[in-house]
Amino acid sequence: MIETRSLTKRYGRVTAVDELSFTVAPGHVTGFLGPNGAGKSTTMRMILGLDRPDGGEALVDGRRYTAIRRPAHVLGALLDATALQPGRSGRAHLRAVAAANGIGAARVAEVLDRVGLTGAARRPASAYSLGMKQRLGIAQALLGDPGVLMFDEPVNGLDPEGVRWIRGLLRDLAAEGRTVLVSSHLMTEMALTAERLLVIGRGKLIADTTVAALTAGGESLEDAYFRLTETSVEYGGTR
Amino acid sequence: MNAVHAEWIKFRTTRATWIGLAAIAATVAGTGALALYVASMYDGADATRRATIAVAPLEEMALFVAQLVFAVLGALSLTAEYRSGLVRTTFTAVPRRWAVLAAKAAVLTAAGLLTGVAAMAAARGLTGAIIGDRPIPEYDEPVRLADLLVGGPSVAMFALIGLGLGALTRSAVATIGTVFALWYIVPIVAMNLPAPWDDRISSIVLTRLHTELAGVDPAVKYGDHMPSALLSPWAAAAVMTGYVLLVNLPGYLRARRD
Repeated sequence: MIETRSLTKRYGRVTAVDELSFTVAPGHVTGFLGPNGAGKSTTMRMILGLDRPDGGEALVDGRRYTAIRRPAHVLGALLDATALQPGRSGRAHLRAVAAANGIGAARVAEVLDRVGLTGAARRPASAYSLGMKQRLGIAQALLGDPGVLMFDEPVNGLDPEGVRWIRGLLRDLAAEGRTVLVSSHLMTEMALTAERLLVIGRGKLIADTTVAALTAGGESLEDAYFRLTETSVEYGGTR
Repeated sequence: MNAVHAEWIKFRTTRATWIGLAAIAATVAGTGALALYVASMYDGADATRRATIAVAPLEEMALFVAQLVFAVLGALSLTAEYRSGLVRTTFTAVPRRWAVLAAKAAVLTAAGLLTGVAAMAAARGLTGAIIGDRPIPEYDEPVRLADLLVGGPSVAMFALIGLGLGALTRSAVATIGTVFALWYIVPIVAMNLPAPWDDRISSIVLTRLHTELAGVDPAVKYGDHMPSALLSPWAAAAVMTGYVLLVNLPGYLRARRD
């Protein structure tokens, strides 16, 4: 379970996240939608304690993330799959992250297998395609077998087969009773993966709804999304 | 301890670590080559020339390179993570930032101590074996263990100064530029200051502290052209510790803030 209460982040005069309150419950995939610059990544960073909120708080299973002793067992996150040291192998990278949370090499081999990277595990990260880096990032999130998972744009760079694979993986993880929050600006992708949707724009919550409810009126999810966010797009062509 | 284990895995799976260690090993081999040159020169000289042959301690060259290598490794330890974005993964895995910095410091200290002593001992052992029983000053007396052991704290200090400056600047270029100046330029400037400042400043430059830690006064040992050492071993240890704390405190405060 992820909970934010009046979460606020300002960068100078810009309010990136504005009194944002929502709850992400276990058991289904929750899509985190919003135009570029809406505050999705900032919100995720605050949940992980990487950015300090200027107001409000974010809780993971009722606790601040930074107060959790071995956080990989509670929340697994993928923020930026390309954030790798080029010369280090995928396996060494995972071993280091795992060791920080007291997780051994056997589990590293397991998650590498689950994401289909066993064959490339010893190759340096610089030799990985973006899709492979995404898989490695997902493996990293799964290391501690956490009850809460958070992915920032995980389908970026994946080929159609990879997109299909991650869709299934996210649903499986949610079906196992985990809390799964996935950010995306691709509403069509969310329509296929998520059950619930959090839509934000300019740091504010615009809609907390389900895919089913949003498309009930015969409107496509894409049209519904544009209707919701049309007043919140900061940078875009005129429509 | 988990954080230390994680940092240890990172340290030994970083390319720079192995490139740096190879550079130190190559320098040790280089001191062997110089010792061969000295030995052959000695053997070809007549008795009067032989009496004038003196060698600067060759193991100091290996230490000199090890100091710079570990300053760079210390600098990269954090700045490379900021550059690649990996630091977010690190702080996500270990949310207490002081624990990350402490773990990096622990790994660098251990590796620096070991490498510093090993580089000194290997260079001294190799050159000593090559010079053999030729009565060349420095090599005609038994090795003082302290002279070799001080290489450890010296290299560890350089690594920790690199780490602290890296935490403060978050820039590899700025950090490596600064440690290079402290390692190479500042000691030269200090030696050329007017008396008594040449001795005073030379006594506290980074590259000299290990000799004082060993209780050696270069002006006594090598002659007046070298600046005098003004610090006792204890004072030298205090200055080394002070530098490390001074540099790491602001870096720690910066890491904690955002």
